[in-house]
Amino acid sequence: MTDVTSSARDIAASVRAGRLSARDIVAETLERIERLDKVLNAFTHIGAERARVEAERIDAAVAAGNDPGPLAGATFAVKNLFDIEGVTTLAGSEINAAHPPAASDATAIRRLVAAGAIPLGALNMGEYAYDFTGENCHYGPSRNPHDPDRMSGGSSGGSGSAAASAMVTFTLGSDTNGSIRVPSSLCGLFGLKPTFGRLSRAGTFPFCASLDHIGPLARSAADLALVYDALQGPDPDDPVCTDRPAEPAAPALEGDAAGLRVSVAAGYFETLAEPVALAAVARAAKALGAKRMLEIPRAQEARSAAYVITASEAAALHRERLAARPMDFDPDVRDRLLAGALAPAQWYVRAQRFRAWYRRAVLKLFEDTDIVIAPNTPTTAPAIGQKTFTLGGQEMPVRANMGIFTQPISFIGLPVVAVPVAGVSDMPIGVQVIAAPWREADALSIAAALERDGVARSTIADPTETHA
Amino acid sequence: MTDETFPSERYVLLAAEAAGIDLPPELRAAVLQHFAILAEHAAHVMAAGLDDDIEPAPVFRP
Repeated sequence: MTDVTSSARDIAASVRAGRLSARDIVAETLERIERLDKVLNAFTHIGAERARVEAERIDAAVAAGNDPGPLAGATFAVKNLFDIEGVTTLAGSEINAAHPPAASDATAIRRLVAAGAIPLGALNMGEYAYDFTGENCHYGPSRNPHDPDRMSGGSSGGSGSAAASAMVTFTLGSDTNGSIRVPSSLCGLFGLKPTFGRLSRAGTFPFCASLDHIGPLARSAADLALVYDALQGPDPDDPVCTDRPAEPAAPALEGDAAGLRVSVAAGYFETLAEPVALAAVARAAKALGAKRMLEIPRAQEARSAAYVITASEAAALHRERLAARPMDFDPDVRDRLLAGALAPAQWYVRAQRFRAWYRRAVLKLFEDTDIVIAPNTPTTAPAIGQKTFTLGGQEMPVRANMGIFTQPISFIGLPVVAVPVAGVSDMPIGVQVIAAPWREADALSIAAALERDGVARSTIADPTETHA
Repeated sequence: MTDETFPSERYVLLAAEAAGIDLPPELRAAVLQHFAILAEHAAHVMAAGLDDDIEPAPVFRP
């Protein structure tokens, strides 16, 4: 039976057929959020009135015999760096709380609402997206539904927490260095970081313009593809958004992925991964029959270059705020931004030049492979408040290093589907399914194949049963 | 410019002063630590040899 925890595909089918009303979905969803968010702290704004208005519109369309859209009745919430009309865009900060409410929705929200999805509000995140933990000193940490004493991952922490607990059908996040993929891994979700420039970022608060992406988090590959398809299309309001027409991915998901050549990332991607992360890669690779190991050249330098570009651009963005009111920042973010503000320009330029070299070198690899499987997070979710962890025998800060395997991939904008791998650990962990630029559909079809085989699975977690 | 030779502390304090960024004493240790990590990453990047014809990645379309 379809209910508010069902997939977007099933909810939309029921709503379009008149078997389920959007009004009832919203009422039940608000009750579920009320119960679960006391534990998880995923939401910073619950848009009940807006949700009821959108639900009435959908039910009216069905009653009139009109099609309310492919996502009809599916509920969603967004990382609070997306503009929601009438709501102040926090970007995880206290400073931006003084800003006026957004005058209009971000492009992504407009497109999802046009497809029949119902917005439920804004989600907690690491301040200004400079984070891999989901912690936030102003609003508290968003918590992992599989164990609320553990991190949700960041910086789209609330997006991971809300989707994995089925407070909403799916969520939106942003990913500059791994901020969709890390919460997807730690919370056991499918997440899509599309090709750089594929999806419009218009109406989102930036972090690092050279590397910022947006994308969805969901509990199945099919839902991820449905949402992704609704988000696609050119947008003159985002200068890096592609003019390529939409290339729908959902229709191809049921197809045979066996024709795709799959390799496994070696070298850098093996050295710092904990056994649990390598076990997830091995399980996915075995299911796909992938035996070829592939070394991505100079991945360590790529990660370092992404680090330098991020620090430099983010610090430049926040320059005036850092000078005027440094003590109003989250200390964990402020100190990194202050360091970035002092970086010599030649570091930044060399990093951007290296990016061009690395892009060329990695694209060459895709002449002989279609998909690369790599670890996502190096380990499962650390405890909330944990500052360091040990990887490959080295103690290092959690906040800066949970993305060691995601950074070298987003650095050149390759599309990645984060896939949760079942049966390797009590806590969730995922892998990255990486494709060539503009080949999101290939990565999604691999994710769907792994899900059909039972190797990939997202499980709804309800922590109120044990932590009420 | 490598991690070993880059004079992080002296550079950070002078650069902050020159840029008009106040670094109160209670923040210095953390900022220096983060700058040292950043300098280590930059050292990897600066050590990566690149031909002169490799231009920066961003493309500006007028």
